[in-house]
This record gives sequence, structure tokens and C-alpha cells, in this order.
Amino acid sequence: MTRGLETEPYEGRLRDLGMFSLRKRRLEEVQAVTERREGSDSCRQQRIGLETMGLNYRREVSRQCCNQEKSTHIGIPKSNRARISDDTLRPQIANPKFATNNPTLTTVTLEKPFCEFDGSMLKGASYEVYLYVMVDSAMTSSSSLMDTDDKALRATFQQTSGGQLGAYKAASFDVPNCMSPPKLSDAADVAKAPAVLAQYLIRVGDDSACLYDPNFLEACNPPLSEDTSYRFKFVLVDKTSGAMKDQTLWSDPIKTNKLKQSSSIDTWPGRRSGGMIVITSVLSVLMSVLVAAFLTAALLAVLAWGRDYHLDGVSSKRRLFSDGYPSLKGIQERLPMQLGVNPKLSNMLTQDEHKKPLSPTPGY
Amino acid sequence: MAKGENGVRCFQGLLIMGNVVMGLCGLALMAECIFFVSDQHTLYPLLEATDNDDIYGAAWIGIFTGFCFFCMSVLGIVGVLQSNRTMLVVYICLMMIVFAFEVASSITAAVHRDFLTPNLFLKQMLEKYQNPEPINNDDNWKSAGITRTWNRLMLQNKCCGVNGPADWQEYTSVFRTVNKDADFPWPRQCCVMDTLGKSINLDGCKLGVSGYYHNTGCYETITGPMNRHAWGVAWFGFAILCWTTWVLLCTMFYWSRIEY
Repeated sequence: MTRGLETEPYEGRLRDLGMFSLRKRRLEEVQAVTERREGSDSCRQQRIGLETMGLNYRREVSRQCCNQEKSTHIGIPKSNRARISDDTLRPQIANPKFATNNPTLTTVTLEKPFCEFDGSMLKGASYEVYLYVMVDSAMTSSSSLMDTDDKALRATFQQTSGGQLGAYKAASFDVPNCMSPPKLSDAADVAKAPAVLAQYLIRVGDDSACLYDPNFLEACNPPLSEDTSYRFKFVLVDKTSGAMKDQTLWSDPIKTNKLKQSSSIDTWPGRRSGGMIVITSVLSVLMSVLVAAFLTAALLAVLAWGRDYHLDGVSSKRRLFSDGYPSLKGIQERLPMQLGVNPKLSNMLTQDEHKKPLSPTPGY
Repeated sequence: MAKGENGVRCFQGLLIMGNVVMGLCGLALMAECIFFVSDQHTLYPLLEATDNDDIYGAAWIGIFTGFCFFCMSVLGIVGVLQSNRTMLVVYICLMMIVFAFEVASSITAAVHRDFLTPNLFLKQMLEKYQNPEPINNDDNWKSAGITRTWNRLMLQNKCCGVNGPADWQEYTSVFRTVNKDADFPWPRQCCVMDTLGKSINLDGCKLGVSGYYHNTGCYETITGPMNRHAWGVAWFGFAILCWTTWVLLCTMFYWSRIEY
């Protein structure tokens, strides 16, 4: 007998020393055995055949299947058979094809525990299900959800500083109806969708206002921390006495998202497109061709003007600058011809101006 | 002599036809660029915020050059008909200047089109959408423009984010600093709304249940008009310039053959 614990009952002594109660220890042993038995073929086949169903039907069938096997091989007392949890009876994340945004930065959405507690529920008594949340790193072997007098733990988010010191109670809801579960395809109908969502899943981290509301009395379900692994557990509780009747195993760790920095987004366009290269190169070439042609024409004009100047002296200069018009009268007088003037007249004109034809001369 | 005259007539006819086509194309370019500048899809605030609005600059230059092509073509036709050397010199010099501007416009539109990537719009959306504390007036103007434009885009085109609603879940954003993830995994405009502007099932929208949120991205809606804008200015300008090169070369040849 350890000092200081003389006055306490046996269960209290074990709890204080961090040991399990007898009942609990037996439950854990059974769970360990069922884990070893999990790989039996008939159970696996039944489970695989029902994989397409969105709910826990498969778990119910597989539990019955495995329970039959267990009871024949292990010889478990009948009183405990209802308490056996198949090791697949953990809280599961909601169907990812249905709820696509899951888990998010601060929330995790779980399926409600359908048909998991039906074996433990007695007729006439009313039950509800509590959801407990705990950070994965706070998971120790002595995490117990039972308070004094077998009552379910009433720790809150604030008391456990967000699940880091232990499990906190996040939500409570009625036991899901195993006989008539919601059909996920009904969610497409706008009228039925709220009912389907409320019956099928529970969103952890849904309520961002309850932490700051001093009037809030129920279990507060505030947003979770980002980039943290959490574990969840469902507990069946008697409404009148508050005593814990059954529980699932702790879920596998589910991690909330982590954000990438928006400043890390690279906005560099990368390679140049082919169209841009074609346009730039072709237009640059055309531009240079035009400039070259213009310069050539200007140079030739200057040379020709210079030659004319030297050949004709003052007269050509006067002709060039006197009226500003090109003094090729042949072209100006051909215009009337093109507009339909008498061709004979134009012939006379051409004979007059034969000295200065339009066709290329040696000078050009 | 008749053969020479015929040749001259033919050449003049060619030049006049070239100038007519150039003038009409110039008018078309001006009309097209006015249409693009008028921004029928109201996407300019997105480009303004990214400091990448040079395709609009190219369109503005296109208005100017289009009109100049039209005016120059008239001058060119008159100059060729009169074989007026001075007119044609003026024509050639001014056309070279307008040609240079149009080259600039076409290349600018083509180059800056390449900068319009999804990441560019994604970064601007994350950094400016519903920005609660702009640092200066410029930031305030840009943030207001982006918020207004994205709200309208998401509501009208039934889309969310640039690549999809997951953009809001994957990256940090100023939106996330203002709105808690539990209430607003993405903006309310991503939810399917009824006629009164309320989402038909808010929980379904937050959870991502199909039918209650828009799961397509808005990138196609943004880049469709912008691509048409940029390619319209760039490639039509390119086509006009290819034609104009020949007209100008022939005009220079004609000019050099006019004798004093």
C-alpha cells in the first residue's frame, strides 16, 4: 500500500498511480486481440465488398463477422461482448468525394458514428454522443475520458488549451439513426441538403464565436490550430446520468493544412512565345529594309540633283526651286490623256517632249 | 512610248490600290483598338494592379497609327496621281514615322501578352483582394479595383479563384487575415447564390459539397478577352505593316523615277 492512498478505493488508487481499472484493462486486452484477428479472410472479404457504401454499414457487418469469430476463439464473457470494439471502429473523416474541402486550415469534418453504439444502447434510456478532440502529441497511455463516478470528462477547449494538455469535449449530438441513415445523393436537393449534412457529419472547429462569447454554455467547438495533428473519439453517454457507456478508439491522427506563402509564387513568364519572336524579328527586318531603301532613294536623288546642277548650272537650279513641282511636263500632260483626252493630241505632245521620256535614262 | 505609258499607268494603279487597302485597314485598326480600349469586360483593374497594362498602351498607339494610315493613304493617292515629288517625299517621311509607331505597338502587344500567366493574377488576387489596410493611395486604388473586379467576376461567371477555390486554401492571403478559415474557407461569392444574393446552403459551400460552390477557376474568363485583345492588336498590326512595306518600297521606287 503506497503512502497517501490508504483511504481511497481500489479504482481511485489505480487511477492515481496511473494504472487502468480492471474493466478497462480487460477491454484493452480484447482490443489487442482483435487487432491480431483483424486479418481473417472472411471478415476482409465482407469489408471489401461493402467499400462502395459511404457509411459505416461495412463496419457494422464486419464487426458482426469478427465478433462471431472472436466469441468462438477467445471465449469472452457475454457481458463484455457488446463492449468489444472492432479496431476499425475509429472516427473516420467524412467521405472525401462528398465533402471535398476537408481537412482545412482550422477544421476537420468527421462522419458521425453510425451503428457503432447500437450494441451498447439499452431500450428505454436516452443517449447522446460526445466528441472529444486531442492533439496527437498529447496522447499518452494514461489518457482517460472518465471523470469521477464513471462520468464522461467535461474538459473544455480553454481548460486543455486547445487539446494540448488532454482531450476536450467539442460537441454533443443525438445518436445517429442506424436504421435509416441519410443518403448522400439526397444532398443534391436543396431542400433536403441541410438535413443530410446535419445527420451525416460533424465539423470540428465550426464555431469561431463561442470562445469570445461569455454567455455560451454548451460545449465550445472553436477552430483548431493549423498544421497540427489531432485525434478524435466518440463516446456514448447516458443523458440522464451523464455516465459513459461506450467509446470508440482514438482515430488515426488527422493533420490540418499548412499554407504556402503567397510571396513565394513565381510570376516570371518563362519562355517567350513563338508568335512574339516572329513578330519582333520580322518587323525589325522590315523596318531596316525600309530605312535602307529610303536612304538609297534619297542618296540617288541627291546624286542626280548634284549631277543636274553641275551639268545645267544655274538653269536647272532655277527650275528646281522656282515652282517646286517636278518639271517633267510629260507626266503632267499625260494626265489629261489618261483621263480620256483625244489621243491624237497626246501623240503631238509626246513628240514634243520626246527629249525627256519617262523610261529609264542612263543617268538613273 | 505606249508601252512605257502603260507601264506607268499600271504602276500607278498598283500604288493607288495599295494605298486604298492600306487606308481601309488603317480605319479597321483604329476601330478595333477603340473597341479594345473601351474594355467591354472591365478587366483593366486587374492589369492595372499588376503594373502590366501595356497591351492597353499598344491599343492606344494603334488608334493613332490607324487613323494616320488612313490620312496618309489619301495623301499618297493624290501624290501618285499628280506625280508630285514633294507630296511623295512628305508621304514617305510621315509613313516611315507612322510605320515605326505601329511596329512599336505590335511588338508591345505581343511581348506583354506573354506576361499574363496564371501566377501573375493569383499573386495579385491573394495580395490585394479585400486588402484591409492599403499602405498608400496607389495601393488603395489597386486593391479597391481588384476587389470590385473579382467580386463581379466570381458572381457573373460562376467561378472561384484563379485555378479553383483551392487557391484560397493553399496560400496565405490578406483575405485570410481578415476572414477566419472556419467561416470563410473561400469568399462568399464562390458559393452558389439564390436570386437574393444569399448562398443556398452555406454549410455545403464551406464543406465543398458539389452543387453548392463553384469549383472552376476564373483564369479562362480573364485571359480569353485579354488574349484576343493582345493578338488582335499584334497580328493585325503585323499584317498591315507587311502590306505597308511593299506600298512604301514601290512608292520610293516611283518617286526615284520621277524626273525633274
